[in-house]
Amino acid sequence: MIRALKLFRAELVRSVLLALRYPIELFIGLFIMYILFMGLFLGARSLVRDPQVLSASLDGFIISYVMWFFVISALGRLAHHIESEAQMGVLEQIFLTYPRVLALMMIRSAVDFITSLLMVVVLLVCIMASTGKWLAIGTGNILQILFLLIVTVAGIYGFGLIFAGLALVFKRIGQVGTIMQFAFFFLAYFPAEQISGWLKVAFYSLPLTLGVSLIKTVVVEQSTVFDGTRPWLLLGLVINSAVYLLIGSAVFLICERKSRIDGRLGQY
Amino acid sequence: MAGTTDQQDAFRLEGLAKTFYPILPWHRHRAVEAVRGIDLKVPRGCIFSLLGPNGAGKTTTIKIIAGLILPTRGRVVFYDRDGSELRSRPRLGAVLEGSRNLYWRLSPLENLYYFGELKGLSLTQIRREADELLEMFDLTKKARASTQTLSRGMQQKVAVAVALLGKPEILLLDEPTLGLDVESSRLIQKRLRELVERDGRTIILTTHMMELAARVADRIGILSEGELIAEDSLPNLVAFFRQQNYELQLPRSEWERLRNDVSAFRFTEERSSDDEEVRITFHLDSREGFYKLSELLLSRRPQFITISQVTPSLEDIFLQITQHYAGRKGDEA
Repeated sequence: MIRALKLFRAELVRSVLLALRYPIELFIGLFIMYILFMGLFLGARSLVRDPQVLSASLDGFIISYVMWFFVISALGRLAHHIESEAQMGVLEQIFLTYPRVLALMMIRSAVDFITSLLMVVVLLVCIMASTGKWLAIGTGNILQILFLLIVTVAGIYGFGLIFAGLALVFKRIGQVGTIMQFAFFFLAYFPAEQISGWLKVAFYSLPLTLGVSLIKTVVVEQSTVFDGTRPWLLLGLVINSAVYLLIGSAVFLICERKSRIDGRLGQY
Repeated sequence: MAGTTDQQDAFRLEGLAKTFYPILPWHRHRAVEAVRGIDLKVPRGCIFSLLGPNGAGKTTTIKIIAGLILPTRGRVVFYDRDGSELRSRPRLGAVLEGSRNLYWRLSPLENLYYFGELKGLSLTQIRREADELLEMFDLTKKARASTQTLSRGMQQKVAVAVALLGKPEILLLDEPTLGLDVESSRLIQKRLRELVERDGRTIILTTHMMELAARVADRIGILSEGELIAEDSLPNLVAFFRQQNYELQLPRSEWERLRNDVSAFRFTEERSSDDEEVRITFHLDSREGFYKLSELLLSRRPQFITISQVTPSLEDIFLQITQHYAGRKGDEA
């Protein structure tokens, strides 16, 4: 545990230092996400003329967008680290220095989640100030939101591990990641809570949908998910994320072995 | 010339082989046999240099030792324990692609801290070792500069310093002085020698720079086409090849008379600038070869200017071994 915390500190310091060396990259990334949201928001406003309807759906709209921001980070960052480290030539040094690479990837995911969370706070404040719609997030529900967020995003990191594994073997896989981001955009915005029956179960078994739905329940409906009325949904969310994380870990380990067999770690 | 030692081995390679297959199954006929059954023992506390031309399998071998490439056959045994077991692996340090082993956007000190923590060292330990290493490689003044702004030699020294963090028992260096200025190269060589003599570390270095190997290595292994074709200490290699190389200096007219008679022997020929004299170096495979040549020369009674035994340089030895090996492979084919 202490070793994991030390690794976490090392990764956090490295990540912050690298971000601070080139702050313009960070700023441009956030700015693009903000502009994209405003484009979507203004587009939606031109379609929905009724201000009441627009206001009622804006909470969910913002939540889905913020969740998609986490998806972009979770899907691409691990693979991006591997691609750029292979290009720099430092990847082999990392594998030699700390051979339990899956554990290192998990720690990097945690660091990445925290940096994404900080960026989301900035993005969210900008969005809420621009739209005039302030989400009901406060001391009463922040812990619930954080719990749901962490569990939901953990499942997405399972996909991140799959892409990281593929990057170890094939090195350049950026295009696949971009396509997947659009698939997740659909899942983030799909109103799965409004359908019923087996179709609902099917959609909830996909990544992201159930988590987004539960977060909307907490933020938009201002209700709690820990009052014992939805135990199966909570359990379902935990199992859903655990399964995707396990699949991602297994694929990563297979790809890591394949990469060592083919001698591809140092190649770019 | 296979090396044996009374010292405890730092590691040994047992029938190590590696074939790289293309990623697409229908391209399997393009498989490359990079390493072909290497058996080798490397004693503790020495610098072992793997020499070989490009594509001989040096880097693949060193990466298998490092655990970065899995062998197709055979294994690496560290201190009598199978190296494929992660827990059995000793502390290894490596500089595999020179200065490319670092985060260029971070400073040397930040690189040392990051890799130190990855190695599980405490912050106090990292601070102490980082100070020592930066001083050892004359990097103290550049400790906080961005690595990408440093010269190639300095980056290489930072890479070696990072590899030495945590005092690894075995240090693997792939072409450690390639492209460096003389001063940086000399400093790295000096520090490597100190690490072996003072701390008893084991260093494996691959190079195709004969001068470097001759200056720092205690033992030398020569790789060609994935096979270890010679392995011994440099004095033994020199003594062995000294017995096999004889130089004759004689008038050109004498050589013309003798030439056809000695055509069965391997030799190289060098004429003097005035074309009056010729210097012939015979490369003999065995002592019997020497007796046969002596007998022949005695029967022809040529008029020598000088006859002497040649002390070969490592480069001569390397060329002789690899050419002989290539000739033998050609004959077999």
